[in-house]
Amino acid sequence: MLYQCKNITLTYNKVVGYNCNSTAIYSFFQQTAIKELYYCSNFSLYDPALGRMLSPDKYIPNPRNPQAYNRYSYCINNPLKYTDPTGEWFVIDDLIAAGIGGLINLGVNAFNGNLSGMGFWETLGKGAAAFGAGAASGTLALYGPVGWAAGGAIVGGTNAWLGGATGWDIAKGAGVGVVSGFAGGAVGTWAASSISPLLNGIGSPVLKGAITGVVGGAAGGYTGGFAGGLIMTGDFNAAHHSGMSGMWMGAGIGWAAGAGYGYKYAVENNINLWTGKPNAIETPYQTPQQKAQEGVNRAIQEIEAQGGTVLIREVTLEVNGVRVRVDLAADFNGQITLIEVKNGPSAGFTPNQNIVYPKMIDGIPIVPRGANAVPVWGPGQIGQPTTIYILKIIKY
Amino acid sequence: MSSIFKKDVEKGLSAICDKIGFKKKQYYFIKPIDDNVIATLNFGFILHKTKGHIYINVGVGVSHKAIEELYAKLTELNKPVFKPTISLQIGYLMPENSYKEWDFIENADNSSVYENLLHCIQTYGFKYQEKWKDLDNLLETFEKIAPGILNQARDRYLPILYYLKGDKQKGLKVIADAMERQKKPLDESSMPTFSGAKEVITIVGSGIGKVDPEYLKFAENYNAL
Repeated sequence: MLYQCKNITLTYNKVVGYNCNSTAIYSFFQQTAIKELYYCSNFSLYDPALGRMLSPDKYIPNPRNPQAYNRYSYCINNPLKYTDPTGEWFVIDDLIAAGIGGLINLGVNAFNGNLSGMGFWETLGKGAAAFGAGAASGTLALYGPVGWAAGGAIVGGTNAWLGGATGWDIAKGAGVGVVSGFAGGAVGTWAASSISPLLNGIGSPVLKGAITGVVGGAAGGYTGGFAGGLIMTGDFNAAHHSGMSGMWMGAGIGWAAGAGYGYKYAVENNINLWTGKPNAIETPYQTPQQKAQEGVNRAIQEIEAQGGTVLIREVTLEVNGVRVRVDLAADFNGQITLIEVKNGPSAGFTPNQNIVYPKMIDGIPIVPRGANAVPVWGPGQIGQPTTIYILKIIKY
Repeated sequence: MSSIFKKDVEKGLSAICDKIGFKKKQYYFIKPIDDNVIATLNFGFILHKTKGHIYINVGVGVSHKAIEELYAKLTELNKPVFKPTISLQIGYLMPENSYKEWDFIENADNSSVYENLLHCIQTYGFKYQEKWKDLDNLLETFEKIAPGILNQARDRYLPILYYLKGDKQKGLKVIADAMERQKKPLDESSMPTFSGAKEVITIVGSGIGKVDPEYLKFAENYNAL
């Protein structure tokens, strides 16, 4: 059998498997003679909820203003970074993360008053610094624990400087960023992956991504905010406020980022955004020649699977001066059989076949012609009429 | 498909055969293995599969002079033709045990395809030619071939091999069985099935279900040996 697993869809240049595992697909390719025509892609469907997580980026507020510790914001941590099979989304990942991180850090600093009360050019320069630090942190957050910590350090140090800190206070801000960044990233990752099994009943990759993002972002945001606030103030109440602020911000960003990655997943795997089921695959156009060869390859596969062998391809026969070319000749249990394959509902007989086949049914001898007929009848029979043959016409 | 491209491929195949000592003779490329046995290669040209491509399959065989001389005598061939006593597509001699073609592309550098084809002939083809050089191995191979209605090679060569081994009676038994089998109508259950097909039409030649007159002549001549 060609199809070894449920719901496998074969197209000319691609196989998309659904409810299949790699063993079944491998078996499929091992058993078909057409394996050279196809390559396998996306046979292992990926659960978008798994690994879809958020990790907090760390925006350490003005170290001199404990109230500002609440201004935490978060960026995405994207495990698909490490599983993106084509690399097509590689730059997009970075840009999305950088954009979100940059804008949020710009907003945090504006809200804190770090970008006001100065001249135009200074505001522009410091605004650019705030955006740049946020963008760097957002991108680094895609690269796991080291990235979380590094991003936290950059934002923590930059924001401390923007808030007026100097010397060791800037370093202290960076240090707080490292701790809260790491803590938020770890908790956000854990929360996102923990909730995944609970979402198995949800088909939509967008919805799954959004929910996972909200939970991971909120958990990571609270943790990062709380850690940063506690370090800076030593006050649990202020730390809790800082954590709550981070939670709401993380949840909001997580929702957008998770839904975005759910969308990406659906597009990459050609599945419905809302049901998670495979979209109908548009079969690429095949020329009649390609379609015919596909049928011949299928026939060869069936013959070989039953222990037969192919003797030759494209055997020419002549009846009453009219020639036809039969697709192949096979030896099966000592029976040499000519095989003509028609593939698809629109495949019909050629004008010559319409003349020759009825004559063969009427018992008129055939005359083997050309070198490709030699392995079937032997060289002595070429050009000599014979009535000893079997022709099978197979319609797939 | 341009005829120039086909000629180019023919030249390329001749060149690789030349490298391993095979010369063209009628439909085959041949090389004597010893005084009695000739190694054969034949190339099937598949010209209509894909535009701008020629696909080549390779039959590997041997021709035993003593067997073929007796074959020509028994079948009363006016003009004996050179042919292999046994031949098989090389793909079935390879580990994948499957029909194999080599794809030559028009206006492309096909040198690696020629090299691969040559490598496969040397690696897999020569081994079998050496094996079939030996009459006992050849007999064993023919004994394993299923006795089909149309398998003229098996029903003719097996009695000849038994005769050459000094066991004519065994050869007569093969001939008698073959004639009985030829009288029977086609048994569809012995044919390959195509489970994926929507429709299968079988056209059976009017010579099926009767003893082949040529074979009858062969049997009479064999009996008279």
